[in-house]
Amino acid sequence: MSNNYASANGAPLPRTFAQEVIDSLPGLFLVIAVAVGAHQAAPMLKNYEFFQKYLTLKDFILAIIVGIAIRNTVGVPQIMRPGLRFSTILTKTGIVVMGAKYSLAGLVTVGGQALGMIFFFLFMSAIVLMWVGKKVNMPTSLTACLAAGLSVCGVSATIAVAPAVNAKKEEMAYSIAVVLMFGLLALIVFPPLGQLLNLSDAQYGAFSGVGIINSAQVLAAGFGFSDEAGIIAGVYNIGRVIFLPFIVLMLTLMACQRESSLSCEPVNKKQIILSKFPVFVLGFLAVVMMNTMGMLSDPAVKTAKGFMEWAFLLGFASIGLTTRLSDLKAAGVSGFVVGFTVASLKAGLALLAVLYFIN
Amino acid sequence: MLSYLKRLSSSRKQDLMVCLLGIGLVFVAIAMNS
Repeated sequence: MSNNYASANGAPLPRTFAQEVIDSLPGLFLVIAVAVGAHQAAPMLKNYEFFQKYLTLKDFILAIIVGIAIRNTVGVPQIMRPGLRFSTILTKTGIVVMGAKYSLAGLVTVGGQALGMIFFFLFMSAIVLMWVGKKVNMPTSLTACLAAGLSVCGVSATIAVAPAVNAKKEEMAYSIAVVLMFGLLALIVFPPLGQLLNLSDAQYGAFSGVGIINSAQVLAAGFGFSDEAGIIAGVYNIGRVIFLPFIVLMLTLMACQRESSLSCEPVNKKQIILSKFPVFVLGFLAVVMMNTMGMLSDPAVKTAKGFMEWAFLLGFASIGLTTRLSDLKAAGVSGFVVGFTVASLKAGLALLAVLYFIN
Repeated sequence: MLSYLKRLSSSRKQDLMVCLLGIGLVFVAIAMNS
């Protein structure tokens, strides 16, 4: 976007908060329009036999699909782009508000199980990918990016690991593309698969929470099945992001061990863990505590759930509107093969685990 | 406090904002139903 605010010597002046807000308004209106459109259209789709029987599209998934369709067909005008950057803020805000649906006891029940499963799948997929990458002679930095992206949390984990392993920009794009493509496919495949296998809400929530990697896609796929499944998938998602600093540390150490050329010595373990800890999880826990202390009445919880759903819906619309399918080509064929194989294997094993361990 | 906030990375600032926004929305929900 061209900068209309420059000093006498031509250097850009810092934008004020008011200017930032004004710049964001056109894009925000588009996000709201897509979210409201998806919310209104989703129930109408049920009138068609195909969507009733084979492809149940809830508003959350529809918002992402419509957003992607707009971005990759007619495009998004330049003036609207500043308003599309709030997807992460909106999705994380929804997660904080989601705490209103849990008491501490409920969180310990679901969260305990979630942490166990997440711990196993997360570290297993990261280690397997590092091993496969070595076997097929993939560059260590790319393997570490893919391992982070496919184990922890797609975009943010890749970005967190990249500097530590000296990854190139293309390698980051490559890894993010694989994660997002797999998640998009999972958004379409997981809900009907859950219905076909007659999974309970708890089973499906755990399946999507472990099998899908990107936070927004986990939540969209969960809520695409049922509200309860979405809430459970959300807890699994939180469990996953809590492990982010530890995975970043593990991959950094593994990459350093493999590549003596990486200038990553000495590794400050404490600094890595503290700097990568997802602080917004503390907000979620604060809301859980408020609910546990009885601060929220039943109607208040219902209102909070409405806020949560709209935060997610707006966040998902933003994500769709910022997804360029041309960027996804960055992964190339071999990246997709390795990435999709590991991600599909992980999802398949997650499905077996939830069928066996969760009722 | 201000100097501490200034030292934080942008992702940390964003996370803190998200916490405040989310908890704020929960307080709005409480106020709407009290």
